[in-house]
Amino acid sequence: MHRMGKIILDGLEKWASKEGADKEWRVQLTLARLEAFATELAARVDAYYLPTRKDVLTFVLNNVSNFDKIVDKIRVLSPVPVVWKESTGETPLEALNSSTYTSPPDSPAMAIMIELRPLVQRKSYSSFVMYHDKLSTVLKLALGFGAIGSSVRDGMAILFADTSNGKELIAHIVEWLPEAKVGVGIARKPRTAMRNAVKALEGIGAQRRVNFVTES
Amino acid sequence: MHKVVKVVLKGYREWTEEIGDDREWKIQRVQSELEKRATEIAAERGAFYLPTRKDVLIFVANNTDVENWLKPLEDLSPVPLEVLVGCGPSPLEALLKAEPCSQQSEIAAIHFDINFISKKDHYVGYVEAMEMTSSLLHTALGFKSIGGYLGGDNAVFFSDPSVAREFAETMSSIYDVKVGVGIALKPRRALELAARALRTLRKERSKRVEVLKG
Repeated sequence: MHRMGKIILDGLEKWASKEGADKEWRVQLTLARLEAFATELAARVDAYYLPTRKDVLTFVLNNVSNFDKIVDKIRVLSPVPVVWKESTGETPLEALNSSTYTSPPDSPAMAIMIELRPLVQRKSYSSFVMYHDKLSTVLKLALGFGAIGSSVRDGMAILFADTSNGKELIAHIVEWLPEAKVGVGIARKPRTAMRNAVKALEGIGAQRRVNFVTES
Repeated sequence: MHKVVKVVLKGYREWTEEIGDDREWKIQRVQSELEKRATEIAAERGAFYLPTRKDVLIFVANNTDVENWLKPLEDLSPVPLEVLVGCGPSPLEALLKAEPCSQQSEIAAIHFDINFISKKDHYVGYVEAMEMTSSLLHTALGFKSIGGYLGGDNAVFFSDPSVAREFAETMSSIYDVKVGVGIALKPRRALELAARALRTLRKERSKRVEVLKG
């Protein structure tokens, strides 16, 4: 089973609108502040904050216990009430959308880091537009495999998948994106899986396109 | 003429590769801190920080002096910064092929409110928002407009006022969106007007595009 958590920022738009229509920068400021905290606090307990739509903070929580304490800290920082949901499922996507809750132990986390190196190396606006297109393709492709993901920066996307069909998903990614290199990290906890994915990507070399690092 | 300020994080990729394997969360935290400060500085000067690439910070800066107030970013950044000021007949041209700044014009902020997001599961809504943002980014190039996804059901673009309505109407004919357009001398004010236009649209459900000029 995979374990996911989400913090829904309840009434963010309404809160921002209290100060009038000059609100967008205030929303952006609040979200950036919360994302910084969410990232750091999740890392402290070996979870991973997955940056997605900002008004819902998403956490990968396989084999992470007592995340409620982290939620309480974010609750204090948030200008609006937060709704916390933790649930489990056969895939990360199912876990995110389900109302099922089972106790750990969970399945290992599988982090798939996709580097589109030509786009990483270019700093132009057009490469940002191109990357967005490819990111959208990857995210849609992943849905059918129960995988979820996001962009961590330009040219670098991350997915979390189940180990049973993760390799098949990766095969599709490398077919669709000829410029992609994929580092895969598998570990009990998401932060370690991410570390392993980075290590896999670093050790990929010039010839290969996919590399795995597995350790608990 | 439109003004765009770019802050390039020099050697950012190299820095990300030098901080060990357990690094992604550290990089994300730095990025969030930089975006937070960039948003604050921009708002104080009447500009708008447009979140796009993480290694190049983009400020829409018509009729502002935001480029003179970026010192706090240097203190936060793990790498040296290069500040580039560009002017051009559109925001895209100001970003791509900078010309000397002469008199600066009004700017249009085009705020897309994606209607269908709220009807979906949170994550699936996000995936669809990414798809739509990708489409917006492509279409915007033809209108010489730049923009990005702001989170939730929001995407924002900036263009020359002369093409803002056409861009908004083109996209609203394809997608289930409401589009608020604000036109003003400074980007922050233009966004404020765009938000007000969206509020009007939420009340008057028959229209999908509203333009307000400051």
